[in-house]
Amino acid sequence: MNKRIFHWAGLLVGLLMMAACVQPGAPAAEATQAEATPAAAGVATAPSIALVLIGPKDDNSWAASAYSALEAQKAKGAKTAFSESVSDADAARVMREYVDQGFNIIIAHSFSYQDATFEVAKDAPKVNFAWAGAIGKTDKNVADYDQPFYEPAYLVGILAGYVSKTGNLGALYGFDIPSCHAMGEAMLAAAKTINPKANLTVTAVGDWGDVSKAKEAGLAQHDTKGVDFWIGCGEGPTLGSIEAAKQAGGYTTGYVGDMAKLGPDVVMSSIVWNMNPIFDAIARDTAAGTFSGPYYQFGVKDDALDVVINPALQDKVPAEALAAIDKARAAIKDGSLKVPFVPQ
Amino acid sequence: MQDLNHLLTAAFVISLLTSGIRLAIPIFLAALGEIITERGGVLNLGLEGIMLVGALAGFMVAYDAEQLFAPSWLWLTPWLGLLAGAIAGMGMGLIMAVLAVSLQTDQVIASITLVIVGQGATTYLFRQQFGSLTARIHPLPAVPIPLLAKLPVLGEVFFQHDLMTYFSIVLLVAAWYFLYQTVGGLNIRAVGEHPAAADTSGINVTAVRYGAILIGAAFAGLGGAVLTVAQLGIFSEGITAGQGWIAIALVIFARWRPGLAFGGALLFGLATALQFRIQALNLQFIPYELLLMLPYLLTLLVLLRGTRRAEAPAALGRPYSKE
Repeated sequence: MNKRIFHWAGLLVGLLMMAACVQPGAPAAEATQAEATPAAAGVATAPSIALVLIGPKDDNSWAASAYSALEAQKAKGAKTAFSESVSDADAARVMREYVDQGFNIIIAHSFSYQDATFEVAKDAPKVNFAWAGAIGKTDKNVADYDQPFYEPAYLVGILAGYVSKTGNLGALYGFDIPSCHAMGEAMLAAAKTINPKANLTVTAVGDWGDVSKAKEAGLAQHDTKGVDFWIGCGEGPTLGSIEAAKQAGGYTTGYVGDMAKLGPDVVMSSIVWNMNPIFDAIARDTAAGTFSGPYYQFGVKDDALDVVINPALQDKVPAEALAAIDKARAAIKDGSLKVPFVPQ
Repeated sequence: MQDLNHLLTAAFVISLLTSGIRLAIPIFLAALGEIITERGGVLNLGLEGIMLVGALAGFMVAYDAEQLFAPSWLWLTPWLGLLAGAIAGMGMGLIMAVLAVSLQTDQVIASITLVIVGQGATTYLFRQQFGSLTARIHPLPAVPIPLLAKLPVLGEVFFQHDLMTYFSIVLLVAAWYFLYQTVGGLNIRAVGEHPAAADTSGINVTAVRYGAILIGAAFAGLGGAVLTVAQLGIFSEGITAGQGWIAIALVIFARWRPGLAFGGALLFGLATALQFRIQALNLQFIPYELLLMLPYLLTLLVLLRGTRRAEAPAALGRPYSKE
């Protein structure tokens, strides 16, 4: 009898551990691809950049933003390499391999790579690192880069103020973390400048990748609060908001990438992240030998973040909305408008 | 407090129940299949991988069929996708059967291999075939059942789903009938309780266990395909998001009974739908982290009642050899 109890207890513990380890994506070793291009002759200090990604490079979102900036560096003559779908546990190993291969810049494009990045950076003082912390945590050879997605979310909010029929806006987060929370609040603040009755309904889906649950969460917002305009934070929540908007009617917003193609009739605008300014700065500082663990902060004013309107829905967007967005963008750039940052 | 009144309106209840049913179906199908497999004495922990393979196979077949078929035949494409999901699931089941029954490897290790294979293979194939997330298929339309669908509240909750939802109920009854009322079901249960005794009475243990694994895997593959083909119309990497593991836990808590598994899955789906609605109503006094736990806690508490006596098939997880 006792034996059987142990058997089942062991099984359940194993199950829980498995559930905790479930990670979409292939092991890094198989996905690692070095794309060595011959270094341009005469450019001795040309940066060689390795990028470590948490998801697939074609995710139309987070990883794709970094990958396209890497491609831009490659076009400028840099030697580049990247690894996709690298789990947190594997990140340090992958980074050490890039150190051994002689790369002088390693970009760890996930908040969750924090420990791995600082650990490897300590052992490789001549290599410059950057990680996606957005909290200003740096070291001598580790840079951090900010992700103020709430700034473009403010521009989305202007659109929401004009387009939402009910004035009931919805936000879907994987979890209610500060960077997500600030996006929803910025959207609400902007919508209120257009429609004073605008309000925000917030749901944490509890998973960053579960599209099915996120869709049901979006439908729940529609059914209980009449939400007809969404913003998503995270891939699963955003894909779910697209499916919910299709079923319930209304519009949603692409997250960190132009998602118009994922829902031509419902993705009215997308927040897009141009990471070129970040990659340029890292390459420049490395080449000049002035890299000293900076915190790169690029937002709307640096053209690093913006909102693009889905061309297929252009005729559904009132001209005043476009004008108001342009005006707000200009105001952010000249410093006369500071988008409120409400992290919790 | 005005928001609390919201909880009692008919519209709220209708949307809650329909959402809960949608969330329950994929998990239920996977759990139902696992019950048949485990009743045969084989522990298949690979549901997550099998569901993923079924989800992608169903999506790919439905997608290709949509491109090829004439408009008048488009109604058929989701059904081909669902069928493909079940068949692909059986393919995964065959791997499990060879490993666990023929080669008599450790069933826990063999089946967890399936999860890793399923995740890797679907990621690779999806990128190979589609590259990005833009591919879409038309999900199954809702089919109101004549007359019944017009009933107030009940009609909207129970009789306005897609056909796959009704078919899942048919599968529940069929699985119950098969397990308890047919010779095939009796053979499976005998092999799961005492394979040596079953063997001496002339039952081919190997064949029966192969059958139990293949049927179970077909159900899991179908569950995955329901997610992509019937409900969402998209595939993304890791789209099952742990539902296969929940299904396995459900089997244990449901004490290997199809009816209880259905109830458990429904409870889990309803609790998930309910906590989303409570979050949307923004009742400040409950932290959202607690609400996210609600489905797990509730299902655990309800199904844990009375599991004092272990009711697992006696030979579960043990390979059988004639010596």
